[in-house]
Amino acid sequence: MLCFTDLTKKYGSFFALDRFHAELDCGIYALLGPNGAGKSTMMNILVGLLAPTAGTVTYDGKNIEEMGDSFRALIGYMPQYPGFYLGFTAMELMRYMADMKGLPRKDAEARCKELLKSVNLADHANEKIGTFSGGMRQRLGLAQALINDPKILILDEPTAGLDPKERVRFRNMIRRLSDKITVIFCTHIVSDIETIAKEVILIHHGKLLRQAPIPELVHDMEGKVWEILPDADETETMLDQFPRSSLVSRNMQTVIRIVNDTQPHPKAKACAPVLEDVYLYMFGDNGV
Amino acid sequence: MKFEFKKLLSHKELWIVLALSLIALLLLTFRYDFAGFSVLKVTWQKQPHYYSMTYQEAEPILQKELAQLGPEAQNESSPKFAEATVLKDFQFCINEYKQQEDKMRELVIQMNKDLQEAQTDFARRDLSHALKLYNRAYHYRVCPYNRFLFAFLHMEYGDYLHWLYLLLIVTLLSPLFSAEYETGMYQILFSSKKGKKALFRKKILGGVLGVSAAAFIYTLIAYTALWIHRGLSFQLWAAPIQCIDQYRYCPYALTVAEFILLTVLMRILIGCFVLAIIALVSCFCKKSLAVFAVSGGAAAIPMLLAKLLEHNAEGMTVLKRLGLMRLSYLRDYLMRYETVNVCGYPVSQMMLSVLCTVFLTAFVLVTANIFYTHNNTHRKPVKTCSASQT
Repeated sequence: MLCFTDLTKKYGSFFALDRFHAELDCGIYALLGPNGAGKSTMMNILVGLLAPTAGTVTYDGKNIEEMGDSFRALIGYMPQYPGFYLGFTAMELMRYMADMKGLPRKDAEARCKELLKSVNLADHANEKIGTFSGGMRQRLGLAQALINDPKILILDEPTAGLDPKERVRFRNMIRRLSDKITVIFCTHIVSDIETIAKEVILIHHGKLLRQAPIPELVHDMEGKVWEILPDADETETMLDQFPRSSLVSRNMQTVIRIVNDTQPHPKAKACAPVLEDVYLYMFGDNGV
Repeated sequence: MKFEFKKLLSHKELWIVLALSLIALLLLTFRYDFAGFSVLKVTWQKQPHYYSMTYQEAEPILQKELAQLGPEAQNESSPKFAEATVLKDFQFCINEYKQQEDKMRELVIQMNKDLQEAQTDFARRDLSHALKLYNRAYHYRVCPYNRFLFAFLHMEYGDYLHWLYLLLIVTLLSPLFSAEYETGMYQILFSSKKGKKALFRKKILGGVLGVSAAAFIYTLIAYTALWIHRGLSFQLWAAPIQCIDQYRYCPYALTVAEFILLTVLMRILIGCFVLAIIALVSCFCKKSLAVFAVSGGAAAIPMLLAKLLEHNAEGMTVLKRLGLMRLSYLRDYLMRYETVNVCGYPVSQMMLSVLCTVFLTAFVLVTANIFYTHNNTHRKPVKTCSASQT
């Protein structure tokens, strides 16, 4: 069990994290929030890149700062833009990371090959990373994060740059892993987590807004999502009027989907909410 | 360590600077000439049989050959004038050698006299040690050698060699710590099990390996270019260092090859000192270019000071004792016998400078280690391009 208790990070008078509190067990936890919400600060504290101003993070009751190396041995981290060494081959990078993560040399080679195979990079193992596409680099990023068989996997925008097929493959892989480990999945792409996340952590201005399973969040949005078929000259006006709105296609017609506590227009009809509506409700127009 | 070394070599800037350094080195070597060199080079080529002789063996033969040419050979219009000029050049070398021998004899006689009159334990120890060194260097290693070599082994390179080396190692080492900050890779490395402590250790070892390779290759290229330029035989590497013009009164029994090896070792030591500075600077500067500018400036200070204090004997002595980059000017330490009184025992200037540099390097490295392993956790990380960056 990973616990964040009153975690605070302050830069001068600015609170990047403000008494953030969350509890995470096995499974995928999606971290949702707009830019500057505090997601990266939270992840940086977790991986030891930043020290908190106040509060603690504990793993199975032990303070991770006190655990030091033994905690870092439990984590796998995939930043969004890891900037791998372009002159290294995929295999060299994996060997390097195996060394940095303290894997015995005799096991490292087999583990590196196995992981490259699992992320579909086995055929490119001896190619320079500089020749890789964005998607291939993302997959390599995941492979290196898994090299130490982590108990906590931290993924920052892991699906950025992946094509739909790779994205599905990636999701399946994470889903399989999540039975035994804690996965913290930070993303803006709601569809990536909609089907796999155990819980969603909504964070804004460094504070925890909500931590709940997706069905619960979606259920709470009942009666707050509306659709309206606008007249031709009404579209732009309504989009401006309701910042938490989006254009969607329904039966070859463009309708406006509005997230609002009350019926926004006499013609608007209530409809079934989805996770994206939760995001819009919480963070659209600077959030609630 | 091998990965850190590979990372160092993967920077394009390094190869550009290396190529430019090499071009500059070759240009400066082949453009450089010292007075009389061309004449002596011709002399050498025209009379190769003298090469295998010592001066003692060569002198009677030379006198005989000059006598055979007759006094008319001194006349410029004489057909034998060119041959006489060549032989006179050899005579010049023999005279130089004799002067050197005389001066050495006088020096040793004076030292023996001083030793008998020495008042303090330090003076006695110092003079005994000096006599032992000179006797060993001159009577066992130098005297049997052909003294014609000396003119050809004039190895004065000038300051540019040291500046080029400094430029090379600063370029090589600048990205050692900052590359990860620039790319964002530090996030993965610092969060790995071995973390910053192991990474620092690996980077330092990789840097030492890089510096060693750079010092060795650079010195090898520099002397090979010089050798080719002077048209020298590689067998001369076994000649004593006293064959080199600047080192004719050197008290140490070193061969030219040993001297070159010592040059490499000193360059490695200087490289390690620069490495320590770069490690420390990298704790505060996260950009390679900034590290290059700050570290290069810091490493160049001792060399600049040396330039400023060139005519100030006291200042130079302090600088020499402190070591720093003065170790690249080996001639300062090897030209003559110089010691410092350390608790009544004579310690050579060079040894003291080496110890000072080692101590200073270790001190800077330990400081850098403390900052590197503790600093980043309390500072806002360098922003990467992450869309989710807070």
